Amino acid sequence: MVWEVPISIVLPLYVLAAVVGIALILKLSKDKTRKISNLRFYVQVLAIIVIFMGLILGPFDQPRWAPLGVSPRDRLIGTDFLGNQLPDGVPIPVLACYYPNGRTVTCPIWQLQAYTFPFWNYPRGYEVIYSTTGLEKIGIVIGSLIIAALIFGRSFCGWLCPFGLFQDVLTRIRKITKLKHRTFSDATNKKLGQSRYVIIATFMILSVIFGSYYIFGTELIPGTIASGPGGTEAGIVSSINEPFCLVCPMRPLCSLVEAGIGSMNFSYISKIVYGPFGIIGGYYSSINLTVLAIVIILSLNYRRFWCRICPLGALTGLFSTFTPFKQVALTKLEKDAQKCTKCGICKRACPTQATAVYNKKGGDVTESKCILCARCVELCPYDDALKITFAGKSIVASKI
Amino acid sequence: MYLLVSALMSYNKTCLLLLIVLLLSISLFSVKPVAAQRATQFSTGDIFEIPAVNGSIKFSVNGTYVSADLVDDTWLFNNLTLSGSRFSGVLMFSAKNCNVTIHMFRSNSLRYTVEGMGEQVINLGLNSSIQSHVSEWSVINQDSVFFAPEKQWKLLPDNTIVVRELLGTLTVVRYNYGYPVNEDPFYLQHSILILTGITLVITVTIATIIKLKNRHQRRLP
Repeated sequence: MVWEVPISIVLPLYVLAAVVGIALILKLSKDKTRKISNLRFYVQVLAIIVIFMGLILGPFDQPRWAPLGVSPRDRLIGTDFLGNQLPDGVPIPVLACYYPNGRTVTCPIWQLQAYTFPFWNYPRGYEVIYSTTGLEKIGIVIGSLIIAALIFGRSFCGWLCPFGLFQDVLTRIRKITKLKHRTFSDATNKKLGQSRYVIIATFMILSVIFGSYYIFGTELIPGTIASGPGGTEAGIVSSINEPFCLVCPMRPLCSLVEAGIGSMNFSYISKIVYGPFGIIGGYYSSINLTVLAIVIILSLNYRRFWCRICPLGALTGLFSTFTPFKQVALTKLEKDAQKCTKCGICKRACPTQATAVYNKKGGDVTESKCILCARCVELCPYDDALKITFAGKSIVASKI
Repeated sequence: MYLLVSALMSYNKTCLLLLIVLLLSISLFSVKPVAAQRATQFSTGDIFEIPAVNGSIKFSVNGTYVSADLVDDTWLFNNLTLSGSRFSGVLMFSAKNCNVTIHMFRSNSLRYTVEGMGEQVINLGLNSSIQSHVSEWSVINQDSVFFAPEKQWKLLPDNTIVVRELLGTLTVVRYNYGYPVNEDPFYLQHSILILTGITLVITVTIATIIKLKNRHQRRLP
């Protein structure tokens, strides 16, 4: 089904539905310990619609889906709005793949890897000629990341990221099925947190190594030049140029959702294309599926497991909770030392096992593991002991 | 956005001034002078026949052109713009023993559907004095199959592509190793980077002002 309703009508309707929904949740939720969680769940679902807006809103005189081409939403948001400088979607720190369809926002990790190449328009970037260099585009992505992180911190992870919602759903399934809940020791959790920076550094270095021919003119790894008969190697080259995307657990979910709704050619993800990395289909590999399976199993045992090692979360955390960014970050979790009784509920409630909220005496207790989900705030039994603030103003505070 | 605005409003006039500067910057970059042209509109129902070679061309989207002439069994579209695209350029297209529907036209690519086992001769209006290399071009179908040059298609010295006996939806694309010549002024060519930089500076400035203000208020008895 294709909607032909103009965007000027559809968009206000979405905004109205969002506002009414949020108001109803705030008004009708009786259970104080779930009020913010319910609101967050609703916002996460809304975010899915916005992120995959291309799947929901009509084509607006554009082809419904464009194989190997610039997507309808890419034209509307990327190309038409941003010109030919950054036609690959707006970088927002959530795991949302770069695909031919439904691309409202784009995962900055993909952009950082892809833009490493000065000549990124070959062999990828079908129909796209950039007016900016790779370095400029990386500047735009990092600048956008810093702006987003300074204003909202890691609340993107807690409130908007589709993979965060997926893990929250897994946690709810665990609760329904009464599976045992596990926690890591603080030391292990700390090491997991540190590993995020190793992961992103590793994949950025791999990205440069795999794309060495295009960057330095020398092939460091044999077989990474797109020169196969009929251009068949273009697929594998374009995939290993973005090595993190070969392991990212969100990638199969994105393509499955899009194919499931009929906005992606199902043959793209169902046919065997090329071998060395076990690529099945044009959009994800067997490594993606394996990582996804492992993350699902671990997320059923440990809440928000992926968020503890997510390299994108690491970047957002880096730009919001470490000096000098921490000094000017606008969204914070704050604790009143005089009202806290060290009951430990906040520590047990935290889905990523952040410890600063319990260990620190008071003041700003935001840390890079904190996804600002406000679960600790809604469960804290003391008035105003914990609160999330924006620009120094309290947005939500704990209540008896 | 509401939170940001309310936060700004609740602080001082400097913040408000910075917001106005930001909005002015955005509007400045979004304004681009456009030369007036007398364009002819066409719709999806218009068919451009090539009777001598039993071919026809139509478009799957509406659009405009300044002129469309049939010269030597080839339709020459000047300043062709398809609806939903900002690109405007010259397209030369001939369809022999087949009917073609064009879906997308850009400076370096064209997507169309072919009905009938025939031949298509395509020129995207590239500068014919600078000969491109065959490795820069690809002809791809909707199943991501890259067709081999000199078999299903070939490149002529004047940058014309000749596609033979292929059916379905095809994309003819030239991957450009260099950057296109952009005659826009510097600030328009790099507007997104400049805008990102300005927004970053404004965000940090406002955040610093807010932090200093909060610190000052906390010190007050």
